[in-house]
Amino acid sequence: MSMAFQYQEKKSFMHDVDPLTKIVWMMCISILVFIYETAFPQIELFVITLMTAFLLARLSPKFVFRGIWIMLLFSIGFFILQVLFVPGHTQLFMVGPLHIYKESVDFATAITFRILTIFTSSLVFVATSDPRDIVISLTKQLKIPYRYAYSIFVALRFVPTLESEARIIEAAQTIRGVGKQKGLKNKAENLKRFSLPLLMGALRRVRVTANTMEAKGYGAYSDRTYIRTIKISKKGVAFVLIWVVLTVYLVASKWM
Amino acid sequence: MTPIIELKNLTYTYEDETEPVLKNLSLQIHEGEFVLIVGPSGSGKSTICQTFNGIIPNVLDGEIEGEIIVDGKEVLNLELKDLSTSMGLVFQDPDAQLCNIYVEDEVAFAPENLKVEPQEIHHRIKDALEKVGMQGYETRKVFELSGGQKQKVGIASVLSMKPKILVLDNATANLDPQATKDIFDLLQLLHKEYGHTIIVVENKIDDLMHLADRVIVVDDGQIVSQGTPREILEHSIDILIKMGLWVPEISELAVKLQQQGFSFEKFPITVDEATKELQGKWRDAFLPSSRPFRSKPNSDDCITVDNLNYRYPNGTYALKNASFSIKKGDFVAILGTNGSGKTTLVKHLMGIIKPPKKTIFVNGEDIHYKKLLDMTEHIGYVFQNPEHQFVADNVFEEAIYSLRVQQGIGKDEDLPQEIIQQGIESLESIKLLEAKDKHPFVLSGGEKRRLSVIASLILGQDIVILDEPTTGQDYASATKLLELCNRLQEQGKTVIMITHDIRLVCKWANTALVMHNGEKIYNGDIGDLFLQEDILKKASLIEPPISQLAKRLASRKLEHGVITIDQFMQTREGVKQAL
Repeated sequence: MSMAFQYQEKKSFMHDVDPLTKIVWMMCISILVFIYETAFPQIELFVITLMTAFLLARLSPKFVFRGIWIMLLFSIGFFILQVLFVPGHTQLFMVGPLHIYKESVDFATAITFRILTIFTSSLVFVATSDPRDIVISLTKQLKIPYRYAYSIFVALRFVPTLESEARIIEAAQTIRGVGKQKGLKNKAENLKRFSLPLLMGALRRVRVTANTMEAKGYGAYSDRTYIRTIKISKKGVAFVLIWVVLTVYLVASKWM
Repeated sequence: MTPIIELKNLTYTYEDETEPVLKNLSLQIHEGEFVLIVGPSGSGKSTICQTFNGIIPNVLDGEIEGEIIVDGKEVLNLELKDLSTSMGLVFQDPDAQLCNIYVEDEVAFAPENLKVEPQEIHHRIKDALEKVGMQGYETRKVFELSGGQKQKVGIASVLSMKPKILVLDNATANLDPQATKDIFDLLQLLHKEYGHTIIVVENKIDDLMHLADRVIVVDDGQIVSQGTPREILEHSIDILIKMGLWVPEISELAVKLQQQGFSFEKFPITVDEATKELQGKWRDAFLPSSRPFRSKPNSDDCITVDNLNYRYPNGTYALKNASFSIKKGDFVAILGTNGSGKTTLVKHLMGIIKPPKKTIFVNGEDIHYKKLLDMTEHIGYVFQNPEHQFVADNVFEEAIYSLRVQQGIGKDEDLPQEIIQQGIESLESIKLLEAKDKHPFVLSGGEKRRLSVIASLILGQDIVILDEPTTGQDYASATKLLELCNRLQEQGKTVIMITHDIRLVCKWANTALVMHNGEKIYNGDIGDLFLQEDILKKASLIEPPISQLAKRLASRKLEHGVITIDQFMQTREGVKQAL
């Protein structure tokens, strides 16, 4: 999971768009998926988002699938439940004793694609935005205090370290014989055995990290300078402007 | 001249503790000085460093009394940001102190926080990376670098604040000897060329001591001795040894020679000085006729490796055509720089990484077909960090855990008398019986390590593999561990140890296996290894000072290596008898 939902260093149209503009794009998509409750426009939106991922963000189908497969499983289950339990009046067919209605299939499809679309658009955002740019966007453009914005970034930095440490602990404890004993009680015990050294290591490391960051002036002032600058791509802004206009038009035409 | 750092009657007690860690301590450090602080673990030497820049008491709470003046500023009345430009601090664990993904960002981090103009920061990045010899690494990812490179980035990342003072708190503990030496060379450069004030806390001081202007010895929160390296070594070496510290081998030898009536014009602290003192006075007697034969010639092989290859997922070779055998009852040291394939190799021996068919045989059996858990019947494996291996809630249960698993005795079931007896005996052998009800995590570093060794061997395995068991430990506790290994060897077990501590290896091991870029480049007697200059050079091994001295004093090529103080002294015995 952690490997799948991660920034991909690449060159693409979406990579060139700055994070804030991409957030606006994500918001447009989110608004649109919530104004429709029928299958067709939802499928349309999903296909468009998917095409954005493939063509504009140049993400490979494999990467996208790995990013959304858990959601895919979840939404299939969700779909089946909806189909079975949402009431309708136009009967399509019968499965054993169960009545399947046209309206419920339509609604279930809409909801399912809604989830997938939101998930895919966030995947595009994460995969095409350098975390450093996100931090700068959050602090400089959205005026979020950098102490908060940066802490997420620092947490990201430690994911690989934690992953490799977890692998070592697993091997180290297997050698001691952990895992040989069966039963739920032993399983719970083993989880504790595994997490204690991981936690102790992490705590110790966090303390040193906090000390060094503090010693390097982190949080000394309410703002800071950045050697990185965010380039606003004109094409990107134009692209998102089209989305904004489209969204406003569709929302307006729905209610007026 | 006013000192750049001054501690006046400083007493400090950590939060939640009753005993102060610093006791009425006063200290002055002048601008441009190179100061080395030594002391046993827990003596307060790291705490002293943390008072300099206000981490204590600003970040770490606790009770503090006295005065701290750094660069003319009263530390106790200031915030951290006012101090960061005076002082740069580098710690032991490179992974914990680098909080950015890219090298460039790491070096820029501090000046960015201090609101330096981006233009100026770019200059500083270039400058700092040049000073530490890491130019060209700007866009590399920090976690892909080697340990030594990470520490250099760590130093660059504080240099970019343009601090007057640079403090290194055990910064080389996790590095291999070559990387350590590189950092020391860098410190010398920063001191001599750029005039930085440098303060170093360090355990292994063989290659560092002579660079310092002043050595401060700390014990129990107080300064017990200070002076030039020569003064300290000549007059207080006994104190250092008693504290369990590493002292330079040359000086240890010098003291032994003095005891035998040898007098020096200038007490030697480096190989060069010792050579000058001994040249001519030391007869050319390096022909030890009856060298203690360390390898056991006639025993069987217990591990055979035949043409083992291993590639990382990215395609580079971690092991290339490795073939060798290890004799039963041997004490083998596996040497080589970090990244040379040592750990990958022993992971194969244990089966943590599954070897291909017909490549590794343990006691004659192809281990390709064995499960990891079954391997534990033959081999005890001690990981680098003992905490990773701890599985029980108290020391006693930890020691006998594998027996419980082996015999299928549940957590709450009573133990048979013989297991209890076995646990008691093994804890007694490492003097930990009194701590049997404690939680393993609260033991000291050395105790944890020794506990993990006996716990790994409770099933009576006859081979033990240890992965860097002495890293970061002081001399006393490292020696205790090696003595334990020695006892295991005397019981007939085979000991295989990855380590960087050449001096310990020379004292205790029989054979050495040297790895370089995934290839085995030496497998043989440990003493003779140091006669093969090409291998030493290739594997970046740092030769023990004694061996260097013996070679320089000998008028012709040595037949056998002289690698310990005892062996060196024996050459003198040889002269005496011949006369």
